[in-house]
Amino acid sequence: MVNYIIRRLLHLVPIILGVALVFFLIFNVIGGQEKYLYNMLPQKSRSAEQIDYYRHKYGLDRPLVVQYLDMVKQMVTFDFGKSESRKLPVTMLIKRHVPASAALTVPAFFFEISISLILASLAAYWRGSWLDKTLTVLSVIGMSISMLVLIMLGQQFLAYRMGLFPISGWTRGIGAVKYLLLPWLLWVTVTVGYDVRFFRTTLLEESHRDYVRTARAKGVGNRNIMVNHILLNAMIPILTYVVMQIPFLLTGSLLLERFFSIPGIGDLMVNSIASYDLPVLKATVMVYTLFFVSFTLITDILYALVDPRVRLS
Amino acid sequence: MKKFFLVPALMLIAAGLFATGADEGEGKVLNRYVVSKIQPFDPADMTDLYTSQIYGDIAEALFSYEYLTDTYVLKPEVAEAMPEVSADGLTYTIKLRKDAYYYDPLKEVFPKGKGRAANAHDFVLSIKRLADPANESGGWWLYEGYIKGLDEWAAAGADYSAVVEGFKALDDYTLQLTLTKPYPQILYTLAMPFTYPVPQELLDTYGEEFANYPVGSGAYYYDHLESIPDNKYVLQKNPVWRGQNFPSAASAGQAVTEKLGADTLAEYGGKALPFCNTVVWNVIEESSVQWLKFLNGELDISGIPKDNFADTVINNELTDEMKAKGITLDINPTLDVTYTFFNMENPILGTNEKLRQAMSMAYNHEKALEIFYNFRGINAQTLIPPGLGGYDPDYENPYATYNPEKARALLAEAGYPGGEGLPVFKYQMYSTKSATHRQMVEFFIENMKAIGIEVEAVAGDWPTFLERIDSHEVEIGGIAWGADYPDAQNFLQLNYGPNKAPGPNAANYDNPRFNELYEKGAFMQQSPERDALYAEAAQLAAEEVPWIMGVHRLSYALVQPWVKTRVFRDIGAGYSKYLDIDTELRGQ
Repeated sequence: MVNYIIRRLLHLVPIILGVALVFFLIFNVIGGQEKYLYNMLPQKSRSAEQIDYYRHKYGLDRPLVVQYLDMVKQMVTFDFGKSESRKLPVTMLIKRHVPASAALTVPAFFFEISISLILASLAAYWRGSWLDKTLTVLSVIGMSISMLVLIMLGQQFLAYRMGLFPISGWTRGIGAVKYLLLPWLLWVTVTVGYDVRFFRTTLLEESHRDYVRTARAKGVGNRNIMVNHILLNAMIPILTYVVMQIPFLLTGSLLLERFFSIPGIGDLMVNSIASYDLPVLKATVMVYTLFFVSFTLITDILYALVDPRVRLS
Repeated sequence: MKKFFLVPALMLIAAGLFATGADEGEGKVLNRYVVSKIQPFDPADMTDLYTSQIYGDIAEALFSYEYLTDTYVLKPEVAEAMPEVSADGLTYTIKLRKDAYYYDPLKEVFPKGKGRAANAHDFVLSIKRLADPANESGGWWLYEGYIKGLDEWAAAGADYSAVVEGFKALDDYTLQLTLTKPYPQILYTLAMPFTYPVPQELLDTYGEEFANYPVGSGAYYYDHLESIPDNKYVLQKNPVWRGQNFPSAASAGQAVTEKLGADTLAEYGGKALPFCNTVVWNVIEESSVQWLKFLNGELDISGIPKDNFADTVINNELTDEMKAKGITLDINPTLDVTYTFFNMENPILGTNEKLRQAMSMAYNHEKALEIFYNFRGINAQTLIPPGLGGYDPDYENPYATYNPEKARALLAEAGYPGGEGLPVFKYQMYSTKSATHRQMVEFFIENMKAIGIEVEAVAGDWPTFLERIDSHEVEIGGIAWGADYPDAQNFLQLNYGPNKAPGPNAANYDNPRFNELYEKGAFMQQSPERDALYAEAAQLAAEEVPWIMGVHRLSYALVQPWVKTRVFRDIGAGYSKYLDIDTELRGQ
């Protein structure tokens, strides 16, 4: 197992170098850095000298190889320099915005996954029944409605007209919960449909396996088969799916953060684009990618733990 | 299973318990909003309107604007009095008051909280920071070439220990400015947030990050504990502020008196400021959210989102539903102008006045006002907006009106009957994402097509647009200008020859007579003679048509019934201290 983990960690090296290369090409070679530099400067005081000043400040006048190695170093050390628009270390900004995103997405995610799993199990258990059909229809409806429409309806009716929730806002500490209730509800409403469909399909696929038929032949009860056999075995694809979603939680939900004034990382990323804040934009994209790569590794390790054949391959 | 149904139920119950309307703290809380993210509070970088609105409540400049006058009249703020100006108009001596104390809530810069008084050295430092190339200040253009020795100081490496002859402290509380040429507008610039004083101690304490820890001498201080950057900026009443009173009714202009009412003015005149203990500036980027929060009473003053305008205002009157809530509508002209410019260096457009006049008359100004602004503006006759010296309400620009027949006749006179012989002109767009901009460009193209002139849109974003203006490549483009200070010179400079791109003269218009009038008027102190020069210059340019005039936009604001002393101000900052709210009425 240790050998396997070391092998997988070594695989990360070319991945990180490759990702750094892609970013490097996007940001430093073909991504229009000139335009960014130009637009960063106030309209009434732009000059070629000032663009040169920024080019030098960001090290964009150095040889390309040095710039590339610098980007790799940033990814490894997590030191992305200072935000040009906020005048603060980028790492500090990321630390400041991640908790809000996490507060929005993590509880909503686990709440939604739990609901989806229960509903999917019910639908799979009573496959073809009115409950299954109703859940299928509701899931499709949920998948069809856009988040934007739901947000506007939620704010208009549940918050403004019925007064059940605040329209938007944020505060520090536990008080933030009151501002998160409606975003959580909307998150669950939008995502639960897709997950119910996915989990139901996974469970049904598992229910057609030979070992299920064998268990039935031995006289094991349906409920017992569902809980102790099908659900447990279906956990591998379900866990994979769940773990692979976690990096997305870090970036939050752009629409929810924007409409509910939640100062999260998605909001930070979008504003770095709007304010042409190159260091923040690079850092948020890189951090997101690093998380994604890390969670892929965790998934692989979990696989290996659950299924020894993975280690051997 | 029951537990899972219990959770959503608990959520709803909790929501009911937690749901709230206006955020009421101790004392009066004023709830305001901005529509974009706030930048750090660095005076040298104060190009953003919303950031300067908040900063204006915290910091103070040498001068500010009277609150109740109908026009924008300067008054001393940290300055003790208006400056003494030498006879040649080149030397300004400004005495500072000695009680404009800084307040540092974190007690990092000034350990007792209450700091020293803002002094002349702080203002010198602020102006030097504008000139320092390392700061890339968006405010440097206001002073470039005007202050004796300052450009040279910047070019020589910006040594902060060196004295600049034209901007120095004679003693701790006396400033002296020496100009290279007359520049009466400099007093307006000393009321702008670019010049807010920065104590050296602040820079020493926080270094490059100082702008995240604003320290000022204004009526409010920045509450770091309650504020959440990017979400809300909470300001509290400054305990060491020297205090001011609400202006007397006698200082109020006629229009302001009519709006606020003589009784209100009499009631508030002489009362101690500020009225509210707390000002909360909420960052709300979505107009639909801003609208709901205003309707819910969580915001005290609001603009009207475009999508809600037709349901809110009919014939410049609020709907009965809004009136029933006690909400009032406040309509005011803003100091701005929108325009479509021709590149006067284009061999065809720049040399053929009748062609430009024809294009101006082919453009349906009245229809554009209706479809793009919901009539929320007035058609511009010249580049000077109403409210500024040089604006002539009786002047009618003969080419700023829609007349296709006359346009066709002018086109024939220009040598291109029916547009024959003309190339396809290129209209440079500044955004492909903005639906309104796309529609405006299409509208322009259709209007020109109607008299036989072919124009095609060239896609581009804002940086591309600016780059192409700077390199004189744009044939036709549309843009707007908002006043930096209340002097028509700020608009006339847009047509001043030496200001060609990359200066603000995007049309590259260069008329010797206009330049002469501008140079004469811009260096004069405010007077009827100067206004006449401004008016002549503006009308000259208007009829030569380097621009097709657009509109001067109107501000439509909705005010909650509990807001008592609101006066529209398009220039300046720091007005929150004048606003009072009736908490009892808000509670109802």
